[in-house]
This record gives sequence, C-alpha cells and structure tokens, in this order.
Amino acid sequence: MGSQLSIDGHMSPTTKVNAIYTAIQERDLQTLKELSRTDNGLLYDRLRRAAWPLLLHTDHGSYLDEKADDKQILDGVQIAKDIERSLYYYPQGMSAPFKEHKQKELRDLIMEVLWRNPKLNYYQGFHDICACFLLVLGKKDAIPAAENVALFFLRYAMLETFDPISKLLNLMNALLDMADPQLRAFLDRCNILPYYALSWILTWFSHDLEDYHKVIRLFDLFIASAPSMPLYVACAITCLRRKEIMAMDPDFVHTAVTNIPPDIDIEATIRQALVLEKKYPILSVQKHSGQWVHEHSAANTFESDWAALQYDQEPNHVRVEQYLGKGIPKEEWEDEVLKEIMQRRRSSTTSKT
Amino acid sequence: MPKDILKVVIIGDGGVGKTCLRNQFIHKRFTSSYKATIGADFITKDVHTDDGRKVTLQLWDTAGQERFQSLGVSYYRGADACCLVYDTTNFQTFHNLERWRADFLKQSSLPPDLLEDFPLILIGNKIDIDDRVVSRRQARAWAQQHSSPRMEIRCFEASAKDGTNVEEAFSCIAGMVKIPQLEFDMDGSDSFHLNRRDDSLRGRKSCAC
Repeated sequence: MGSQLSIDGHMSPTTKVNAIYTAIQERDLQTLKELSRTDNGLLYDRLRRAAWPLLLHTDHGSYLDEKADDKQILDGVQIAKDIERSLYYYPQGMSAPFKEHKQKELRDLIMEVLWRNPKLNYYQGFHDICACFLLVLGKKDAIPAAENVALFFLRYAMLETFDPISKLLNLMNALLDMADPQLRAFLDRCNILPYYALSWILTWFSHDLEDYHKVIRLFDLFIASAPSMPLYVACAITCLRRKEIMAMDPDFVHTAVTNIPPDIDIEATIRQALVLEKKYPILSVQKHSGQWVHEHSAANTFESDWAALQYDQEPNHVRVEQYLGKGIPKEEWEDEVLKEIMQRRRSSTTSKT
Repeated sequence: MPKDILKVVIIGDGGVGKTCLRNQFIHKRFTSSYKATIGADFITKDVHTDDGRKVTLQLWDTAGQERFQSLGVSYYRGADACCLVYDTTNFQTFHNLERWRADFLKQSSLPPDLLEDFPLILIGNKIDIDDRVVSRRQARAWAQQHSSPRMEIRCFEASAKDGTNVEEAFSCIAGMVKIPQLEFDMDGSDSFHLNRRDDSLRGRKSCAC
C-alpha cells in the first residue's frame, strides 16, 4: 500500500488526509513515513499531533512529571539568552504575554531533555528545533519527542566536542560533488567552505526559513527519514540555485548561498532531495569521498537502532548513552584538508589585491 | 586602484550584542528582538579612513556559544582585525574576553611574532542601559594590559541601541589595519610597517572611553 501511495505525487488533499488517518489507525509506520516524506507531508498540525508521536515512538505516553533541576544544567545562562531570542520568525501575531508563556515552556522543555540525558550537550540552535516540537505538539508531548530526536538524529551535534559537525558538512560537500561537480568546483574556486550550511543542519532549517509551514513540512520529512536527510536537502537547495549562484561575483557568493530565498519551492526541493538520497546513499557518499563519519554516529547506526523498530517498540536509550560515552578521536587529515583550503584562500586573496 | 578588503571578526559571549552592533553600523537600525546567530556570515561595507583610503570592511558575525569555537579555525583564519565585544552590564562577559582573545589568536594561524601586534579593539556594548557593572577604568586597564608597543588596543563603550560610538569603533578598525601587501613588499627594512603603524597610533592617543 505504502509504495503505491508514494508513487502518486499528486494525491488530492482529501485522499491524503484519509490515507494519513488510516495509516495512523492501523499503526502502519511504513506508510506513514512515506506520506510524511512526499507530497506536502502531513498537511496539517492536527494530523501531525497524531502522527509525530508514532513516528518518534513516543505515543506510549509522556513523562508524568518534570524534574529538571536548573542548577544541574551546565549551559543555563546560554539557554536563557537563546530563549529570550527564540520564536523570532514564527508564530506570527503572538501577544507578548503568550510569547512569554511559550518561551517559558520552551525553557522547561529544553531543561527537561538535558536533565534526563546528562550526556547530551546543549548547542545554540537546539532551541530552534525544540521550539518547533513545542508549537506542534504542546509541551507535554514535545518533551519525549525532542528527546528522541536529540538522541537518534542530532546527537552528533550534542557530543562534548563540536568537531563531528565539520565532518557532516564535509560530507554535504562530498554529496554536492557527486550531484553537481561543476557547481562544487565553482564554490571551491570562490573559497566557500561548507559552513554556509551550518545553521541549516543544526536546526533543520528552522533557524533560516521564516515560513512556519515550510519549516514544519521539512520536519515531517526529517522525522520520517534517516538523520542524514538534512544533508540531502541542503544539497538540493544549493543545486536548484546553481544558475543564480554561478553567475555571481565571488565576493558575494558566501552570503548568497547561506541565505535561503524566502520564496523557495519547498516541495520541489524535497523532491530533489529524495532523488539525491536514492541516487547517492549516505554510505556511497562516504565511500566516494573517504569522509567516514564515526561508526557510532546517528547516520551509521540508524538502520539498526531506529529504522527497524516496529510501532510498539521503544528505541534503546541505554545503547545511545553508551555511544555518547565514547569519545570521537580527531583525525589528523582533517587539519591537513583545512590547511590546504586556507592556503588556497590566501593565495587567491593575494592575487586579488 | 586596488580594492582593500579587510576581514574583521566580531567575537564575544552570546547575547552581548554582536549582531546588533553590526546591524547598527551597516543599517543604522536597532530592533530589540533578534535571533541568536548560528554559524557565521559576513556583510561588507565601504568606509573611508582618516588618510583618505577607501576600504571595504568584511564584517564576520559569529555564534557566541563556546562550543562553536572549535569551528573557529575556518572563520578566524585570514582575519585582518578582531573586535572583542562584551556587555557593560554583565561582568562575566568582560571576564571571558581573556579566553576569547586567547582562542582567537590561537586559531588565527598567525606567525607567533605577529600575534601580539594583531589589531584588536574592545567594544563594551549596552551603555544605554543604566546598570553598568564594568567600569571604563577596568576596560582601559584590560586594553592596556594586552596592548603591545606597536599595537594599542582601543576601547569603546557603545550602544547598538542608540548608535553611540558604533560608527567610531568600526571606522577605527579600518584605520588600524595596514594593507598586508604593502607591509610585506616594503619589508626590506624592518621599520617600514612599524613606522606606519606608529604614525596611525600617534594621532589618536586618546581612548574613546
């Protein structure tokens, strides 16, 4: 059933709503994933409220009470500052007291996730992700949802060191190299490092896109896909803008690339990302580029630890805790690669002036 | 005439107002609601220095959380100057300048003999708020302590909200940095770029704060 639905790229909204309801009722996780990924995703927040907990394996219930103790949270000050600046683009038209209330809930939510998982480290941007879960699910359901997303999708960003993030970005670059070598070469010539996509990857684009519906639509895709999906979307966004980017003055390329146009066609982007995912599976990208992400990374443990779960199975938090306990050794070649890039940048700057 | 592009990195704790300062300088605008900066991005602006040069400042705004610093290598390298920002109403942000400066110099990949002369300025933001905990004297003392005979760290107290001293601080940077090519090309005698640098400092001994 699932594959038939996904092939039809233009299901009418009514048909799709019915299909989503049926999949939820029948606890048909596979179909629900397909529906989330394709063709406008899960359509409405009321459907998401029913579907996301299933997709994230949190529908068995939420925590009875919140126990977070602020004093035990290391990044309290940073979190407070980020909360103050949260809910910036959306939702629109919130009254000040309501916004304040939501920000307090957001704070509680982040604190609770971190308190329950002391091995997770907060990063600026995690608050953006949590805000989306809060807006869709409400605080009580958002806590376990954000927790599972942190543990099974984002934990690479939540280790003690931030180094693995560079590796993910290099992987995105490698993917771009496979998808559009010309564009990649152009960006290289302009000395553009993949850090333009840093906030995209860290926040699932929720920091960059101003339109709530587009952000939430992407969240449908991400929670129903493997953790490397944001890399494919990032690549798709850049590829779809190739003409515009390649016609630019090199001095402005970084700024242009990093700012996603507000009128981006999100469905076209997602379709492109799905094509890329199919064509270049994450394993083959690693092989092609020699950029191996760690064996305990979410990307490489996802199949066994998450994708294989039945709807009534809970993911194994203990195992993830073990992964988090293991450090990631830094590899020397990473420095070498960077050194090379910087040398190239230096010489090109010199020749310009 | 060649285009002089100076890469300037703005660093300091999260929430001290790095993005707001930059926006005030570029757009002459202030909004109290801002989102946190994640990653780094630059905006360019042309300024004229006192000696009539036209310089393009490439202002890099960065994330304030410490864990982003491991990505710093790629942002800091090739920088021509650095703006250290603290919040005059929050002592911790001033205290942390020490670490920011050290991290920056460590990651900037400059040759050791250039480190202590690297152009830095200090900006204490939020002086419009009537709740100061870092005094001018403290800021000046810090600046003096980290200045070298050839590079005086100038300190500014500014307000991204009402614009006080924002223009002054950023223009000051443009004047501080010499064009690397000139320095190195003429470097037969050691004194050339040192002299120029001294000249530029002599005219502005007074600290803005």
